[in-house]
Amino acid sequence: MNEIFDIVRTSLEVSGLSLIIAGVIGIPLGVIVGLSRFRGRKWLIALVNTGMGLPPVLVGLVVVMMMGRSGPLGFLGLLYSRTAMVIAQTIIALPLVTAFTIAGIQKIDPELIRQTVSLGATRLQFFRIIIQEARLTILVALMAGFGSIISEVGAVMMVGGNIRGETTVLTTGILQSTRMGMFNQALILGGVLLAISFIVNLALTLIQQKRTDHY
Amino acid sequence: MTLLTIKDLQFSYSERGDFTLSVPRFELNQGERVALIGPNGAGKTTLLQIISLLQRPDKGNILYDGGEIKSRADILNYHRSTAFVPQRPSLYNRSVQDNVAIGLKIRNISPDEISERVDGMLKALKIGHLANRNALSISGGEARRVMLARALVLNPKILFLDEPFADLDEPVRRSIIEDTLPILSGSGCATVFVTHNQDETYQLASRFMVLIKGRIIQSGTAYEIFGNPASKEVAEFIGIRNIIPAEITGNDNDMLRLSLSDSIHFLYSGAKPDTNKVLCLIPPESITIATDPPQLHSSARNTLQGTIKKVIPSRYMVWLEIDCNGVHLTASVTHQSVRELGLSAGKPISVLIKATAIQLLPLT
Repeated sequence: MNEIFDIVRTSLEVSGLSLIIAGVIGIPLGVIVGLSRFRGRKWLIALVNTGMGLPPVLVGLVVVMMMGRSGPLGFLGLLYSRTAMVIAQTIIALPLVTAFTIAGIQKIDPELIRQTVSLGATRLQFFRIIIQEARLTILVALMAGFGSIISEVGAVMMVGGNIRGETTVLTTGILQSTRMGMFNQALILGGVLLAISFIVNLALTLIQQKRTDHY
Repeated sequence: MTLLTIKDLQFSYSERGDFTLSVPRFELNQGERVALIGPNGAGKTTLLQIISLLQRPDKGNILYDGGEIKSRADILNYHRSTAFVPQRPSLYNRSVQDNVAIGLKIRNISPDEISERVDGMLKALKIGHLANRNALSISGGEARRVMLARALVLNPKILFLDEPFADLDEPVRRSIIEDTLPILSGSGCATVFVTHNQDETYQLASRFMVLIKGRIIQSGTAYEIFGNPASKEVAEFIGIRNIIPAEITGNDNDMLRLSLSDSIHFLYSGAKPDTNKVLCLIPPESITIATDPPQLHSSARNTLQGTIKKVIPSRYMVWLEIDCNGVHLTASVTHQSVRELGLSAGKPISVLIKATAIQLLPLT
């Protein structure tokens, strides 16, 4: 039972931290790309959209190559650590968070954006108002990001190494238990995985549907 | 006192190659209410967006309160002294109250003052009962009121309105104007508004500017513009449907004699233009129609015989297209007259036009 608890905690810590980092980078990036007009913008959006379908094993491969002993970041000695897992999952979640945010910002009526400028908002106030206006889509962005990493197995397996008590997460735990014939434990982990997904999405949905009164 | 001055303004649209908006000078005085009028595509909204600093011109200087607007800080300060109400309903996905409060929050006003001012404005514009409703769930007319409240609650020095009452039913439009006018007059803020062609909105303006194809063609009071259009385009825009080339061929008892064709002559009592070749403007509403010999009961100096070609009913009046020996005239009469006089296509009639109702423009 203790082991299951450890696995759940590792999963939540790794995927939670990855989502936070992806949000901190992806939301402002999505707002900027969604609002500005610059050369190559369409290419960038196409690239981000492609990133939404990034195969986790491919991300795993690249991170392993970068962090492996002979890779350019090998000196950090991070391979088979939670840090490496967070890096890999951030890379997986980032395009999702960014792309959904871009879509949400682009959906805002340009007249409303102009109105916000005309009201005399500073740059910071402007961003806050626009993000709040796109809040529903931004929450979808976070849900999609979280969904993609909590259930992902390829990258965490490759860069985390599935070290028992260290880097085993729910998905790699299920894999391991199944291989060892411990179907009961695998089923329990699967149930927990689904429950976490449900609870997190429920919480985000409740926030999404809540009326907000401030900017 | 001049509040806003625009000099040498130039703007070209990337997607409309040959069209340039060009305004050599525009001045707005404190408390003045200016209406920008003109046909669709004349550049009215663009001009409004440029002077409200929401669109950057290709060239030009904008001076506010004596100082030229140059830096980001100047622009921010300008936006915080003015308010802009766009043409389309554009409200934030939050309550009506929050929509109205947002500009005050941006200006870091204290919550107590915000709530007091917002409540007052919601009441003044009769939307107090909507305060807690989501702004995206209200009707079009209510949305206009919320947008006006959001702008007026800021006590702006200048208010910019882009077709603020477009797409509304006439009673709704009239009631919004009735509720807005006292607030505008009370605040003394200068107003620049774009309007397409809605008579009700004209009462808001103290000065009119006619913009045609990117140029300000005429500027003045309602009487100056509507009673004395400066060009054929302005005359067409304000609805003078009879614009007929004519020649001044002589005098007749202090009046000028105009020849519209070999057989049609008018008497005109007004100033003589520089050229003999002129355009003769006759507002449709100043043409009187008679079915019996008119000499008995009219002071009109010009009487023609004609035939009704077409009867076109509209909401307020009926348009008559009349042929008078090859000269085509359009007259407007009431629905009641059409009924009483039995006016219909093919009917011969007399057309009466006062010598004072005719305006002349030099033909260039």
